[in-house]
Amino acid sequence: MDTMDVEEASSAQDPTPSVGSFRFSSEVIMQILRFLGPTDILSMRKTCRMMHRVTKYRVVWLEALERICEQYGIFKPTFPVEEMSLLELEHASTGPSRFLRAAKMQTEEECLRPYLTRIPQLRQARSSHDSSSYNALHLVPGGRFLFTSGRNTVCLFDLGYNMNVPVKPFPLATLKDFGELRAVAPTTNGKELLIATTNRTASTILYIHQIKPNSRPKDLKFRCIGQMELNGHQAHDSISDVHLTSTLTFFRWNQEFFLWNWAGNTGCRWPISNALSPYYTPVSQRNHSSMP
Amino acid sequence: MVLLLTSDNEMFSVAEDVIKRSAYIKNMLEDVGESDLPIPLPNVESNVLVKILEYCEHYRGEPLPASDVDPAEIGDRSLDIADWDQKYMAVDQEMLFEIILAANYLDIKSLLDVGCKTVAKMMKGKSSEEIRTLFNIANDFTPEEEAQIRKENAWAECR
Repeated sequence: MDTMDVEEASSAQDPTPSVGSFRFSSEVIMQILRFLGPTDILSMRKTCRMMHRVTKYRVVWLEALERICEQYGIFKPTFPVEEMSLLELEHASTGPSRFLRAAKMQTEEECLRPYLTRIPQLRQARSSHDSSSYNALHLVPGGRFLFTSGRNTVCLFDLGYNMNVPVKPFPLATLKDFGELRAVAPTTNGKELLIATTNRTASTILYIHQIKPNSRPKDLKFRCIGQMELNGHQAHDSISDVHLTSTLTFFRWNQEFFLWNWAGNTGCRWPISNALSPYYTPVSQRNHSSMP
Repeated sequence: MVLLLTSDNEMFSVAEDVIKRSAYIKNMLEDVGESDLPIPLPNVESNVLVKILEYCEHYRGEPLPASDVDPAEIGDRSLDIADWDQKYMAVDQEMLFEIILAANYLDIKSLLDVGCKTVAKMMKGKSSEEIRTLFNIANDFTPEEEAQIRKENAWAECR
């Protein structure tokens, strides 16, 4: 068994007898590390040789990064963990705490300076030179995937998962003629992204599309998985306050709130100043437990 | 009843549904079947086994964890510890470490988690020097190695 004998190690350098017995196997140390954040893991690394060795195991940092993603709501496919080096995993895991520390330091000076400035020349297509026609931008938590929206076109860009990766100037995928981007959310399994767009022609239509940003180029397509048409109201009404979760959409339209479970195609709407009243007949009870 | 023989040759007679919280013993009972022979536990001393049995006794009747849990599953990673578990873990450091080692050996997942959480809570937010003092870990790096490690990890501290 891979044990750390403190008494033997200390006798070589330190004549005072050791009273403790931190003689855990690397297996048990890894169990302890599972409950620690990246900063504490790095403190452990500097205590002794045994800890140094265990905290260099790749699996320790793969798990640490996964915990950090869950803790901070980071979209997990941001990080291509299979191809990342150990140091890159350590950098990514400690990113949020290093950023928060830097932000705290800077706010004492009452301004937040950018960590890094990049000016990516994003273009919709190789033939296009116009990169400034966006009405909306949405950066997916994690900072790698960026949605742009403008002129009835939504584009998904890959900015790279760290500053050494060059920005890809052309979109991974483009969605034309489904209106403007209103909200973005990850799917329940955390592997895909959902977007809500609205299109206003004769009536207003809300679309939900799904995309898996790290799939192979030929599979990188927006897939429509839900749509709702809103009519019977004045044409100048527009949808606002659109929120999206992995199963629900919430929005405001023409003095009414709407809650639409697009996965089960159930929902309700209620006047802004009034009580909840049923709108759609529930066709399915599933997913109701996940309502916020 | 199941007979257990500790490293210091003490015999314990324990109800089967109590000791089955140990996946190690549960599997052994399933493999071997009914037997009058004691199960030797060469890695567990009697004073530690008493403490382990206190835990198993307290959780007697609670459902055992599913054996087909995916080890890659993140699971509960909070540092919250139930009140009873906290009181149970209020022991000296030597015993805390013995409990963790025994829980690992006997494969009592929930107890191992509580023990590791207790240790992690003690370490949280501490510098490496403070961790060494806390757990009496000897610094076995040479001064050169220590300087090298400091240099290698300096990026995490810079602003």
